[in-house]
Amino acid sequence: MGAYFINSLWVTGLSAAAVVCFGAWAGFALSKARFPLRKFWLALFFIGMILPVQSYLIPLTGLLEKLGVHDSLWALILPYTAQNLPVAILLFAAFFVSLPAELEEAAKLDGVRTARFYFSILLPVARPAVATIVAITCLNTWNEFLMAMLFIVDPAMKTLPVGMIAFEQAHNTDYPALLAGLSLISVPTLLVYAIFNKQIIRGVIAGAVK
Amino acid sequence: MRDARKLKRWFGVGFVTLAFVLTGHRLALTQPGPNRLKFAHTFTTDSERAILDAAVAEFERGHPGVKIEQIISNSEVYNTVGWRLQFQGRNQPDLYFHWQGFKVEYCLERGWAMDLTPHLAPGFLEQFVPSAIQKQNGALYFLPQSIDISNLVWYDRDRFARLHLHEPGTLREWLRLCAQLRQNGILPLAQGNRDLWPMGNFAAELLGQSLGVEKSGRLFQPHRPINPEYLGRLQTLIEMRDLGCFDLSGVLERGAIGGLGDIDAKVLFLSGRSAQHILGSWFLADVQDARSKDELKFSIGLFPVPPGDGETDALTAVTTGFLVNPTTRNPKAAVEFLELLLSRKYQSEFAKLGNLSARRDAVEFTSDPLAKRMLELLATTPVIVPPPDTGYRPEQAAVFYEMCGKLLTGRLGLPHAAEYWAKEKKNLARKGL
Amino acid sequence: MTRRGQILFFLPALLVFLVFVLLPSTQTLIDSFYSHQGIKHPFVGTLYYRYAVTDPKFHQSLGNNLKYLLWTLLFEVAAGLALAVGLEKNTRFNNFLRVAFFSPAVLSMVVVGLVFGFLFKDGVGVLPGMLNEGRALLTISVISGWASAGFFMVIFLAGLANVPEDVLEAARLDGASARQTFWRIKLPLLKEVIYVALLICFTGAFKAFDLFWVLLQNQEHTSIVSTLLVKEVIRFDNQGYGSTLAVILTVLVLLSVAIIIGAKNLWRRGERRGPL
Repeated sequence: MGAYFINSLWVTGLSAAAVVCFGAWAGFALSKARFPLRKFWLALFFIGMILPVQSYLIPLTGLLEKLGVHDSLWALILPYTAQNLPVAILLFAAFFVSLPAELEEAAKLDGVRTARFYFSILLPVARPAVATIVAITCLNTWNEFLMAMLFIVDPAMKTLPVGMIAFEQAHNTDYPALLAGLSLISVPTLLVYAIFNKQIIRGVIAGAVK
Repeated sequence: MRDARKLKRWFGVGFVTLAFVLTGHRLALTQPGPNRLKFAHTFTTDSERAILDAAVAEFERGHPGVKIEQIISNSEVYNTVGWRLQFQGRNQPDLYFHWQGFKVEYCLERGWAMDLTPHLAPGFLEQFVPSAIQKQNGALYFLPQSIDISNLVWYDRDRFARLHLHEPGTLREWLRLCAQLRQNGILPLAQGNRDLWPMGNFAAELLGQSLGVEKSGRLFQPHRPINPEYLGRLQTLIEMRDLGCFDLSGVLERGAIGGLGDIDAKVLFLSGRSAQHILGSWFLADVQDARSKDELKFSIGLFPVPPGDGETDALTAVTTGFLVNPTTRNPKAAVEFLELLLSRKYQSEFAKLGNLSARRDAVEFTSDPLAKRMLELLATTPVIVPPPDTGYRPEQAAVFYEMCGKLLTGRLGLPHAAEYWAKEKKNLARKGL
Repeated sequence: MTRRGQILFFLPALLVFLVFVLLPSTQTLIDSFYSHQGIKHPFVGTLYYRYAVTDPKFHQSLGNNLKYLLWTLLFEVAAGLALAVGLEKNTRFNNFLRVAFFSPAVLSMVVVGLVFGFLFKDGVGVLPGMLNEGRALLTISVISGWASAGFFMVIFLAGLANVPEDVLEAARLDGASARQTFWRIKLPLLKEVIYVALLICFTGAFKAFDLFWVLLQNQEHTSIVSTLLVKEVIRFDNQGYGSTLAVILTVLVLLSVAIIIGAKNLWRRGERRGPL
């Protein structure tokens, strides 16, 4: 169970980091009115947002195998990132559109380079959006079951939900251990929810209304 | 203020670095090495695992540097999904457990098994019953671990004694016995058919008894027609249901059989809520588990599913064993481990758990009375039929399992069963299966 | 920022999305026209689609999806709306209840399935018989309502918070009852949010998987399209038909989104032309 927990932490942490990073970059780019094909990209990501995982699930196994990452934590991190990116991009794009253009101008005048501008100005300003995206992505990836079930064969690489099912089947009547396992999945999300319930609820609303 | 934030950031960076150093190896894309053998199997009970762990420990002592990593799956998951998916992984097992029949054939076809003969110690094969060693074109891929009997009726001896009941010899007697149990306020059989194979395997044995191995086997072949007369024996399923063999108010409600898992049913029997339970020979390992934890409050007996009048006493059974993946980097060690596992020392340990070894000396070391009984049954049975999920193509077996589930819940009447089965087969053919 | 900088910013996300979502989605579509039996993969045209049209298992699964959709409209959306209206006032106690009602939404469906599965287990659990053939689908819908009603409540609360105070004030002055205020004023103003809720509920009903898989994956009466397709692929090694089912599922999801958005636009246009 401990190993599953650590796997889940890595998968969730890295997916969320990648989603925020790539999502904010792309969202910022798409917030510019003159970005080429802007409407098309936004529509594409909207479709990506509503696309069920089953649409791309089946060939992913083969693809991950070809990339040589099948049966490693990357086999989850990469698809999870892709799956959660569309919402992040749309949210960030909407957020940055409302950002005053002076900010960038001022930065340019100060001679701030792109990378610095991004990390020291843009992300801090976008903090509410970042919190929202981190909250939704973490919840989604921490609890994801279907892909984790199909893409991970090696028991050492299983994440909590899949590991939990395997454990339940093997130790059906070991109730104390089962209860411990169930809490290991649920307590972190409940705890995070107890602390960040405002951000999470804001995230749900933002994600829903977008 | 600024310093505090800086401190916090350094703290965060430090934490992530520490986490990476401690657990970051999980993110590495490992390559299989010659000193790390992955062994996939389905031995989940504590008693079985203790034996395996001992064998692994002995092997690792004798082969310094070589590690055996066990990949343990639930047998239903392995049987339906894992057996094939494990070869998609980057970390394919080096050696793996299997049921002989369709699945082993499939593995051979795909090149997932290698010829073991070059690596076997001289004289090793002579330790086994000749019929258990099946060579193909001079090559041997499969080493037998055990013969699993798929359906046995396990019963509460104490309860039978109290009610002056005896092991039935015929189907009529058995049904009468079930009715008597029920009259005495005891659930005759705790069965959970949620996942369809438990009662499906039982039904396959009924067909085996009435039809014999060839006729019943033909039913599962693609494109073969279904003769309605052949299915008459499935009437027993319906009779048993109508008799109330599977339900008793207060224990299991009517119709519960369809929603109950096999493991839950097993637990119900072991906790004394029912008088009998139908399950394969591997159940003895669970019985030993319960005994060693001192959870078993009664003594257990077993008898084979009794045949109908004038029928042969067929058994449903399958040989289990091990194969070695040709991609392994250390075939010699893999085979040596299997030789150790199949040696008298460990096979005699397994025999205490109902494992019916294919070794010639199995009779000598099988001492548990229940396991002995099973060996006798195997030795005397005139007909052995395979359980559908290991003997035939999975989708063909699934059709039969689903049909039996429907018969049991009353969704399908027996007169329409042949028609249903034929139609489902036609459907499979239409989607190219 | 330069145009080149913008594109550089955009590329990583596009690449990940392209490789792990768009490419495999297209591949699914292609795979649905090929047989994957054995080593060779011959082109079979629309064979699997024609098969799906007459496949009783697919029909049953799709029917279950639709039944599940109707039940979740009741247990998730309607229940969520009721909760939102009930907890609309900003009091400490209500706030606590909102947090409590939403909390199951952060739980893994696997956990929810395992816990309820245990409660409903015959012979052991406290409420046996809930997963019997006649009721299993309803039971699963109720569980899913328990888990998600709070989620919809939150969305509706956000909508209710946007109802202008002066409109409510005016209604109160006119002596409208609470019920009248709800039906005549709040509900029409919630329209936007209701569309969103419907969108999520409809797509969710087709995307559902975890709960069904954990509770009753092998029973026909709880088979849904997503469990059917997973079984087809991993059990029967029939990637062709599995892909076909995936394509159909995708079309159903996209279609329901299109219909809801279309309805919304139509409604709006109708309103603009209306007597007001």
